[in-house]
Amino acid sequence: MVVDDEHDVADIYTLWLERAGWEVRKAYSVPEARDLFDATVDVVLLDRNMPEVTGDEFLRELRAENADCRVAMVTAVDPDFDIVEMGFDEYVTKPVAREDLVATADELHSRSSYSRAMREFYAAVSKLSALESELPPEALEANETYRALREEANRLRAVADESVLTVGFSDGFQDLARLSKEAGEQ
Amino acid sequence: MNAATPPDRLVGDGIATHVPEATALLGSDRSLLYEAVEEGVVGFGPSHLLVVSTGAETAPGWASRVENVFTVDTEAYVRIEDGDTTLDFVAMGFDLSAKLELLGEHAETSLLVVDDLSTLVERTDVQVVYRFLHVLVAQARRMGLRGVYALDAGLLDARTCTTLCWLFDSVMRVERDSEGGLQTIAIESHGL
Repeated sequence: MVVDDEHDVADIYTLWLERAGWEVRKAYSVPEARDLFDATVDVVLLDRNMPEVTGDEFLRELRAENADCRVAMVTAVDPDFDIVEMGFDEYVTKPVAREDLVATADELHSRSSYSRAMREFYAAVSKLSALESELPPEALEANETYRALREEANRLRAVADESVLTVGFSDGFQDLARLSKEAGEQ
Repeated sequence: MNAATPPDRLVGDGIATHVPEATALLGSDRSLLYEAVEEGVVGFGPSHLLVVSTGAETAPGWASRVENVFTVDTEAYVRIEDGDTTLDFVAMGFDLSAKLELLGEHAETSLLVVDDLSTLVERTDVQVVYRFLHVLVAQARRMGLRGVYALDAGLLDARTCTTLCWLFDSVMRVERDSEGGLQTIAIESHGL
């Protein structure tokens, strides 16, 4: 999703991303973005200074709702100490070149995909662990649902193992910082 | 354990003879786990060692016999904010990344030891530890670096142990036999 009150800017970002294979939702204001946003949005490219409601405010809303998406602030505002507490994933200063914008979106999508893969893998393994701590191995092996869950966990592990390769080591740790903070808040 | 022994020269006598890339060692206390690594459960004497330590000691005593030892002390990255304890994963990631790079050219004869996961779980949310380990194990695999991940079963409940063990290529339980020797038993993830 591209959110920018400058129509020309939002239009050109949308064009660049669509040419790179992205499906893009475009909003010229935060109220419009609120209407267009749902759980299928993976990445938000968000301007900071917008009339009526700022990008900073929309970012706070997304984080408060624990929206499962990655957010890049794409803005002419030079970073200052106020960004320390902001919950974005990338900060891109305008003007931004086409290849940089697409690379940012691609990188955030990889992190988002990895995050989802790990969450699903962890959920499956947690269920298995709960069963395995309560029931004897022979009862587990005789149960079709359990065997299917094990197969699913193996499949999800393979997906997570593959997607972590596209994220890389340092970005993997960047995401952990946010996950850790969210866990602390919960 | 001799320094720089090639990885194909395995240690026998009841000790594992095949070493997958990422091995979880499960024992009832840390000294048993230290001993297992020292006795050669990892299958070779590394030329380079990276110890990710989560305890007071930044490297176990036997590490002094390895020529090149690097450590990452996770305690150095503990932050306390508003009464909550968290780990600064970004700073720790930089440290880990730099140390792993030092092993890069010697990955085949190097060893990564994470000692131990139980203390990490006590420090932060288990799901966060899970992600941390997944990233670390993936990076070690990518480098061709063997890793041993110690799990002090005395500090963790069975469910958490089982959950964590899914991250590794193999799991070995380390026990003391009736004559006081070390015994390593390869196990499935269930029945921990």
